[in-house]
Amino acid sequence: MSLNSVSKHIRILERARLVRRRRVGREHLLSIDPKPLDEAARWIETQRASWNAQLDALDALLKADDVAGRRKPKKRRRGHDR
Amino acid sequence: MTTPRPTLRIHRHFDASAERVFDAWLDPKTAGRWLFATPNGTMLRVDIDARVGGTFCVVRRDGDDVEHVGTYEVIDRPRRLVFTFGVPKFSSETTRVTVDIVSAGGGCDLTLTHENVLPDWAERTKEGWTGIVDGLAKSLAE
Repeated sequence: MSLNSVSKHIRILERARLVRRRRVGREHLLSIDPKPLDEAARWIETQRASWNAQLDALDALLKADDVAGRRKPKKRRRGHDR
Repeated sequence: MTTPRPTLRIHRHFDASAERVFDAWLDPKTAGRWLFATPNGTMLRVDIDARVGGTFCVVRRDGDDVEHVGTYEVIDRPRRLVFTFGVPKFSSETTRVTVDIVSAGGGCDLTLTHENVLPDWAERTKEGWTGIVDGLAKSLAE
């Protein structure tokens, strides 16, 4: 892997705020900051929880409709038509 | 070049038939009871134009009014539903949701795939953070 492509990828990581650069004289000191990844993980978890809550609600309402007898689940005979 | 975007996937079994589960996404009366709903929220508006290219708009009040909008891309009853999805209040970007339903054990199995679940993030980092990982993997393979 060339030095060029290493610095290109480090620049991308810097832009994503995952890597911080500090200059001391001619040296560039790089450090990793995983906080943005934590934020991303938290956001994904929020989305997951939201979809799960919605699917819970869907499951509950379909079951409630069954109980209410509006659409009684029928025992379907399968086999000959599939 | 399209950049792969972070994807969220959820599997769920329902005792109800594939048709009933599918229809619950597109019938405004049913959808209004659960889709984009929150326990303490109330639905102000559920507009669903259930055809390919048709749009939906679901407005929920839970403290604030939050508008959920999108366009249907695939409607293949009862197997597959694909729609774009955005919440303009939070992000100008749209994401994509795919719902796959397969009959199983008297009920059905649903797989929900939410692509580009991190729109703001991808916007902010331009290449997107999966792009970073991809680029890195490619370079290391060179």
